[in-house]
Amino acid sequence: MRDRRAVVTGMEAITPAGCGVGPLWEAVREGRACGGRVAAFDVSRNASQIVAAIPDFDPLAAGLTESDVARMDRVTQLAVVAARGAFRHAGLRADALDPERAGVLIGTAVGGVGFMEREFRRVCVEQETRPDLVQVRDDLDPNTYGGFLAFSVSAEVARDLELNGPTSTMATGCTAGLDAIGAATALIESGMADVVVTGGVDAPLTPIVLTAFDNIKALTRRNADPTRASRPFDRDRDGFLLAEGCGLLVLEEAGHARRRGAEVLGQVLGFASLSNAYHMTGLPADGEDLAATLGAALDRARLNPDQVDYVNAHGSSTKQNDRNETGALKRWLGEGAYRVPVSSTKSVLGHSLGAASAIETIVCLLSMDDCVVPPTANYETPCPECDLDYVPNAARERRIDVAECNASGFSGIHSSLVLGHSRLRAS
Amino acid sequence: MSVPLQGSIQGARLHHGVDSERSPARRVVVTGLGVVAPNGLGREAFWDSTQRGGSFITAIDRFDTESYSCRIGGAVAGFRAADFLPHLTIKQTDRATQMALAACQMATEDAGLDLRAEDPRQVGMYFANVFGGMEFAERELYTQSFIGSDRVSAYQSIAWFFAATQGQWSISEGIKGFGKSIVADRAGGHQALLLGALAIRQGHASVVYAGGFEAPLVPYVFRIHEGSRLLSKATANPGRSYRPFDAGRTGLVLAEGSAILILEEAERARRRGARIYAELAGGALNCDGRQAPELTSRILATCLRRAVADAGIEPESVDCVLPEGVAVRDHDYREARAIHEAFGTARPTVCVPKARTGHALAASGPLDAAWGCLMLRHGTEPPPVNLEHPDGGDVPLPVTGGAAPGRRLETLVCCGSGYGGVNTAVVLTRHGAPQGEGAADA
Repeated sequence: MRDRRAVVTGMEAITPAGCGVGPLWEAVREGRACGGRVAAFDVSRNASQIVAAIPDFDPLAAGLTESDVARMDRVTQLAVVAARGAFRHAGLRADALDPERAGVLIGTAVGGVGFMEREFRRVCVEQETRPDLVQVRDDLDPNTYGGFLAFSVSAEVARDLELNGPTSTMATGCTAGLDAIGAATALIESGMADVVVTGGVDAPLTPIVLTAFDNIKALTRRNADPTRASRPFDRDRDGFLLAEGCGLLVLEEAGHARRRGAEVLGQVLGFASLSNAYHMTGLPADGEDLAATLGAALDRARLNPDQVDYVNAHGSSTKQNDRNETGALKRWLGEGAYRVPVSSTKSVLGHSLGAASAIETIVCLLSMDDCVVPPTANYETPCPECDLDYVPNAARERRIDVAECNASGFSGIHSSLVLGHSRLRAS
Repeated sequence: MSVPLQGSIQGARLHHGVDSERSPARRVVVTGLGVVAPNGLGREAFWDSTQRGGSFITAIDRFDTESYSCRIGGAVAGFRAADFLPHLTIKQTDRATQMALAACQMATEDAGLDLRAEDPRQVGMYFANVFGGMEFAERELYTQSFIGSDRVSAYQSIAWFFAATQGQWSISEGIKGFGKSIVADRAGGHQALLLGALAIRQGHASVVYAGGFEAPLVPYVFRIHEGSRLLSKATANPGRSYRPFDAGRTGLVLAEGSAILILEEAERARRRGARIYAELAGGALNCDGRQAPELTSRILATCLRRAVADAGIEPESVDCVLPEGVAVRDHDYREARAIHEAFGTARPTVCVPKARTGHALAASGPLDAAWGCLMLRHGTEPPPVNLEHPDGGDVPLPVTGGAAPGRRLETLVCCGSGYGGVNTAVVLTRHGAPQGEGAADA
């Protein structure tokens, strides 16, 4: 099976740090946290009133047409713009590619919910008689089908880049980005595609999404201090900072990349995903199933735990996750857990659901390239149950050959991706 | 420049079993069927009603359809969640998830799987859906819009989202394996089968619950579906209105329901003496991209040819195609032409069992696959429904029903397409298992 391997040849990010990989890496490396009060809608009846939004995304200035903007939810606009960037970065041109061997498999947790929700508020009417059923006026925007459909984040990219290969949307919630990269790797290894645009995107800064997480107390309530609200592994963490973002990669079969002389940015060495079968939203402290996932991903990479140079944690800044993840790392690495640097990109960017782990994959590639372990920002007060080396507040120089990126999410899903520097020889 | 890692990747310790589990020779068979469909709950009721013919499409009575241009659908009238699920699960879930969980239970029983005896990390899931748990979400959107954010249910966060079903099934049974949920419009269910099989082939799991679930007969999301401009506007005779590939077609009719297939690594299925319905021998997926949207046949034909090649089968040996069947003229013609282009003179028959029930979106591929498995097992095609004047445009459209004279069904292809130009095809072949059992109750 390993005669076909997946390598990364292009990437692009649009995050609360700004548009592009440059602003992303600068903010993450320096630990400069993003965050602000919600301005777009009324949050007066919400306990959590802060988010990390993309400050400067203008779809028209980024090259989309008026018609694109009318048809696509923000989530799809982000995906299409980022995909163009990643494709350009990979030096791929549609005419130098067999379009039937090139596909799109992007992850998203909530897809075009914003489009659906906006239309809901416009056409659904309050009623006395059957509050269990909404009454819907008949002038719904006909673009709502495609606008809401989570598949559009992939389909519109395929359309825009004129690709005809395997196309799907991974929708596993907060692990969707890594799961998409894992599935894209499977397509390449199995021979179903040579090139896959993959990663994750979410634009969840909408009333219903914020409220849904808020009402189960998953979100931070540090409203007065948004840039210090996401504090993974810190004793005073109180929930995640909801964010939006997009991180896309061009994944390519290694031989295909070599033949066209593409620069290889990193290798996908292994992917695994398991579930904890514990609770829809809660996590056990011991991290047993996450530890098994980390081990399985490394097994598939044919590596030993002591060969991992950096762990990019899920590190969502919820009480439960950071404890679970710390427990998993100790269970998996034993004493070695205290020696490997572990940091959380969400301390800087917040948690952009299905996009987060794809953006964090890009961070892993950048850290390998730059020989820098990015820090966990806002780490101020140690927590007795989280006692590993979280690289507090300042980046650290280190040669990184192998990085492992983790994601955990609702429904008890754990996923893990092992990435290798391009200089590593394949087995 | 290539630098070996200290200790080198080549020299890394090999962990137990990794290589054997990744052998490309791993094959995938279907060993269990769980069905919640307008024409029946459970495999037996589903197949019995299929053989009788007749339609299960009715006027929608779950909400007031007066302002809607489409007013008919395939409801699962007999489904009561409480017959399958505890109260707390029902409170936390959408109707689509409830139907899927019931289908998962039935599939487990049908496959004779004892989940307590399985390695929980070897049992996975691959599910598809189009818009999430919208019956639940509509209620909460209403609450938020007209009552207040602070009154929105705590379960909104786990009831609407796409991975809700895999989480509920995993937790209820203690399953811990590779679990994924995807969205690919109406082709999503086909993809779940194909990618679920790939997860087995690549050693991520030995058993996968694969399928789809939909409950689109609710006011707001039904309005969104109207926006696709595909839905039938016929009202007079609901049971005669969904007519894929018939000259009297009136448009797409939506159905609710779920089908879950147990996919299993073939060798282990054989070892445990499982009843094998069919081999999921291969498949393919692709996308129209910027080709004339949804109306090109060439790329769909490529998908069909690739699927058959992936299964290691000659196009000439495909006996029957279970098509997408949108029942909109241009879509039907495109699909008929693609089948013709892919299989040419071999002329597989075209069989549309879903004409009875309506099109269950991402559940339609798995429902078609369930029908396909039963067709292979019983060696017969179900009688056609609403297909009096076959019309594939300028290509011939062979339609048969009942036992195909002089030949045994060996190879079927289930075909799905959807918004954004996605295509997916799944190949099912009759498994070369001892035939006694299958013949006995055929």
